[in-house]
Amino acid sequence: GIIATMTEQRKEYLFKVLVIGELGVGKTSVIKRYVHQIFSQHYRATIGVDFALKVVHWDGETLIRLQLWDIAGQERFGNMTRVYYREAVGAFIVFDATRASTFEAVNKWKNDLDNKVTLPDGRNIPTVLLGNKIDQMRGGLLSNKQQMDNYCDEKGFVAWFETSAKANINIDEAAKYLIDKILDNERSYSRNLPDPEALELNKDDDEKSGCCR
Amino acid sequence: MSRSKQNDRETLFLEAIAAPEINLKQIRKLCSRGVVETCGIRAVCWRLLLYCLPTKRSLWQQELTRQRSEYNQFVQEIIVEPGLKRFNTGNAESSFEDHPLNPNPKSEWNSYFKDNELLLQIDKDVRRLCPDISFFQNATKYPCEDLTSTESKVETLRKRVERTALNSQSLTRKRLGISNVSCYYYLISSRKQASHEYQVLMEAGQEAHWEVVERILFIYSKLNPGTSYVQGMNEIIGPLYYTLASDPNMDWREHAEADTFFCFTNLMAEIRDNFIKSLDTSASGIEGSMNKALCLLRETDPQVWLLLEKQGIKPQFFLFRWLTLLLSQEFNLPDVIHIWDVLFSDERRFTLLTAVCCAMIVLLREQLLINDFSHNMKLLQNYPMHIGIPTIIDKANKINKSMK
Repeated sequence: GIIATMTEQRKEYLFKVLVIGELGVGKTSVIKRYVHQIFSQHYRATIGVDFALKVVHWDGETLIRLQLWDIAGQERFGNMTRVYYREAVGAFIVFDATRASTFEAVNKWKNDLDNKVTLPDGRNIPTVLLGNKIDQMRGGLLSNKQQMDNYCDEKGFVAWFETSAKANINIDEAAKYLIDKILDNERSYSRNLPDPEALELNKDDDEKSGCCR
Repeated sequence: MSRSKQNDRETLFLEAIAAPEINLKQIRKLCSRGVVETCGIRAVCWRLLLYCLPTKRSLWQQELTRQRSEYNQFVQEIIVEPGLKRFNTGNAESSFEDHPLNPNPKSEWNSYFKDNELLLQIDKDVRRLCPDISFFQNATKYPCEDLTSTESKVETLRKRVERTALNSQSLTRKRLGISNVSCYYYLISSRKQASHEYQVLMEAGQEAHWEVVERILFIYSKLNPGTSYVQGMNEIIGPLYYTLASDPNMDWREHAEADTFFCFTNLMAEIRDNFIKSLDTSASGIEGSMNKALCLLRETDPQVWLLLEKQGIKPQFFLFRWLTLLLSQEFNLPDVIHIWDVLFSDERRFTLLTAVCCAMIVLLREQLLINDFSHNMKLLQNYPMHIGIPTIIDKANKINKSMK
């Protein structure tokens, strides 16, 4: 869940974010780029789940601990996903912009996600669509922006980005966008219904609702 | 271990594998303390422990010849012959591309295209085998000549992968023209060449070790349609092939491909259930294995067990990988090989693995008990290098003994 603590002026959040999509679309690469600023042509196939942590200094008074859950893409791991998705507050669905079949599978991943995890208020978790490996597209970006916008509206994605983990294109931007959406959600709960888990975990400073502006 | 002790152990091994009637019990006992690194002893011991060699030594040659010619037969039937057919009709390119739309599920093309998808999956995974060492990227001394020779008129797996990667792009363009289905919004740029992800940097007549592994896995998956190929099998075959293909004894090394196939097939027969999704919840499936390890932990160290429970660190988050891959992603390759010496020597495979996993957790207890969820996850997913394999094995043996 979302845990917020307040130490003087600073606010800390812990967000669980999923990274899902077909096998070999570059999920691990996207995370390694975002967390460690590195890229390698070959990362070992992810078996089950890989966990990464990134601390984001969002603004002068907000610190975000982002748990990134890199989930294996092969169908075989389907029984595990329910356990992996639990309590996530945001997600990236990644496809390989050079392989149409991985885009065709996006819908399946989105449905799986929406069926297995929701926000405490019952809404779907904010999800950003990433078309990765655009460095390998010759002749520039050929996606039809209007159609992609329509697709995202229709399927319930909050946004889409063309990314390259290799060339470091749009990864930070996409993450910022998603975090922003998660923060919006978090702020709206704090106003309306304080997260009981957060209160329980932070008994000594249950000023929680008071600290949100 | 001192040099002379090491020599003594080497002698013991050499005598054990030279006996006319191999004593498997003795081999197991020797291997349970790790196999000596010399004379290609490990490769022979693993073949014995995986039941790829008969215990009667006089039968070895006969059995090896049989296995190797059987494997060669598989290569012919599954790769060379279909590849030859493709080569002969290969110029009529466009007629194949449209063929997945053929409604006849039994059509030859249909199964050809299905196989290509399978091959592409395997390809993605074997290219990223043990990226921390160069071995799998290097050329093998023993390529498959029917496929690599310049006169070869066969569509190799390499060409199939490239073609499949290309076709999946052009196919989409075509479909876009005829379809309004929403999932085709995304346009793919047109290209004449498969992306560099699928390129192979080898000179003519050469094959990289990963390509050999790809061939074995493709043949295995074709012969075992029930399991087919599942991610993680690449990590199981990796250390096997590495051990056999770096055998200092060239007479053995030459046949590393065929022999790895049989070692892998036998090993998979024992651990296959971990790879089958529909068996996940059965007693023999991965959930059963994870529960066994957790029960053992609860008995061994209730405090740590309770901590994992309280922090919500599920077995699926780390034990799943540990068990499915026989720990092959948790350590560097030499350590994996060492741990496999021990695991393979377990007569009741893979009971010891449960104890090893439990030992690995217990050895982290001091850190686990003070860390938060995130740090514990990182710790369990990136097992600390400073804890040596002998320490883990010792602890596992102690745990095992205390349970008896």
